[in-house]
Amino acid sequence: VRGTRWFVATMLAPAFFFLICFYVYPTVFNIANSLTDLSLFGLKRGGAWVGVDNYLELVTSPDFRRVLWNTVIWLTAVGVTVRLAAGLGLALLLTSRTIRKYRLQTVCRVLLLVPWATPPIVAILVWRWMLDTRVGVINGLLTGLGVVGHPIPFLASAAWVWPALITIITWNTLPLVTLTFIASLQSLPSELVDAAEVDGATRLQVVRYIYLPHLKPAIVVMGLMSTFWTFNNFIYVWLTTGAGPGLFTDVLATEVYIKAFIDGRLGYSSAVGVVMAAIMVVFGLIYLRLIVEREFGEAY
Amino acid sequence: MQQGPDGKTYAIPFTVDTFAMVYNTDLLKAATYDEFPKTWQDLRAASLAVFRKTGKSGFGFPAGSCGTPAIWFFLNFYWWSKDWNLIDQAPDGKFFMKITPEQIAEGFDYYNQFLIDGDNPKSNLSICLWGAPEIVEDMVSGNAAIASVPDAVGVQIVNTFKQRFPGKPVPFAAAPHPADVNGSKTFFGGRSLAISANSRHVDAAWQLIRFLNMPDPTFTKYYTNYVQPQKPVLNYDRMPAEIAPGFTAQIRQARTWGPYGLGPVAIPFMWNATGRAAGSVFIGEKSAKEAAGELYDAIAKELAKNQH
Repeated sequence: VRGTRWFVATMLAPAFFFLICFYVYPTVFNIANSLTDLSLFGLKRGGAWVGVDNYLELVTSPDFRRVLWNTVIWLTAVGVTVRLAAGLGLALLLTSRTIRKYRLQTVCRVLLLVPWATPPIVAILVWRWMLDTRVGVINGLLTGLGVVGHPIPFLASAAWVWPALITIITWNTLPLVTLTFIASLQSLPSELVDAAEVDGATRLQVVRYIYLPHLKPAIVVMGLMSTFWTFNNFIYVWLTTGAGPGLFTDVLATEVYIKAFIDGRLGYSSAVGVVMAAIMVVFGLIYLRLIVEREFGEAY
Repeated sequence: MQQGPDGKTYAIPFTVDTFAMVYNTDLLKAATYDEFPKTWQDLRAASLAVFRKTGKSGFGFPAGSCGTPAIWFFLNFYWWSKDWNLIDQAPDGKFFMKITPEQIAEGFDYYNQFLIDGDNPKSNLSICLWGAPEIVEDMVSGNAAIASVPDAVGVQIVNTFKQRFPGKPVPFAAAPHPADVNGSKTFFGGRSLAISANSRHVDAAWQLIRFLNMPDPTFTKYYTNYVQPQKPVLNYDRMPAEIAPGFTAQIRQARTWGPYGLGPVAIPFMWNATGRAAGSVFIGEKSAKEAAGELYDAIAKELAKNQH
């Protein structure tokens, strides 16, 4: 038994080494920094202990409520919901009989991979160009068709900036969701659909009572995974709007960056990061619970 | 040489620069302005007149928000000309805010009016930086009459026009920003070469500084980011003749960042906060008064916290 323990410990040691170096140590270091007034402009001096002052300032700041709202509601809830809904619709379309009838599955699936294969920075630049008021193709179309009288500043107007941002994120991240749903749909026995149709089920009823229950596990997993990726995301917001106009699209990830590298308040920024991680832990626990329940059939 | 309070040299000047108003003489003439406006009210009126008479943008400034937005400069030029400063220094060495929330709001309202009336197009709300291609292109193509730009961007506007329309008379000139009780005030900017106190390679850094300061044509011939590294500071002798007098007149009235740089509130903090506050006014999210009050409080809090 003793030998077995040593063997297990030896095998686990590399994994623990990396976990400690790259997860535990940075986490502890960040928490320690969040309790100081460490400044980017005084790294050599180091930060003085301020206790929970950074956290108090954060939760009492009027900006924090807006940042939290932007992150939780706009970026995550709306963003993930739109992605799941669009992914579901697209998956149903791409597995439909019409697409099969005209042998378009392969072409459609290859086209579907294009946004996924496009690096976010490229996607963002192209979309910024397309949404531009002067030379953008979208404004060109809208004004050309007479839909609007003047070009819409999509990325600079309070009414349009979030929809535009979510469109960009959805376009770039939709393929994974769609492909996952397609894979799940392909495991659905066609006899179930045929039997339902013989019984007189409408198309909507087939979707409601056959497709959706079958897709439920995939929807849950993709929903949670998308939530992780979106909640933490920095690049889409920062490169598209710079958290503006004003701070209208500021989210937790951009707030961490602004406080650390523009305002130079590393201590405060660390506190924002800790709060962000704490919220993610909640999502993580939900995810673990669902996965463990599904895999092992018991509560976590 | 830039010396610290202890008399030691800490940095060597490398480049100087400032912003001036570059304008299209044809468009201003079309709006019946033979001379560039000398007051802020005149600038506002001229910009609107250009827009109404020609359909082109008047003062087309970048009004976007980011970490380092151009509106920070334009607001400070406005405030400084009226002798208002976000940070100033008293004779006893203490730093203080020499501006009120109402005066901050006045600056926000002033620039917001260009966007409200449309002589600065709303599309410029998505442009953050002073040298953005859209700003240069609008000037070169004659779609905007006036821009506030640093010297290098002024050169770019003139040179691009010359390349695109060879032989055509250059319709650009430059002038100082509008003046008020404190004159026309922009910043006397520039870059210094210094060795970081954290550097582990002081000798190598010093060799690089010496290399960068070698006389032409070693490095500065090819260094075009700034107009005149190592040149006498008060003459823009490398600039196109059309805009050189305006830039020279402006830099001779310019002020240093002074208390902004020496004081306890980091410039990046004020830069970002000012740009964000202005942005929230420009999109109608907050009133000028509300945004100005928040900006004032944020800087005052930072000042109180850091001033010993």
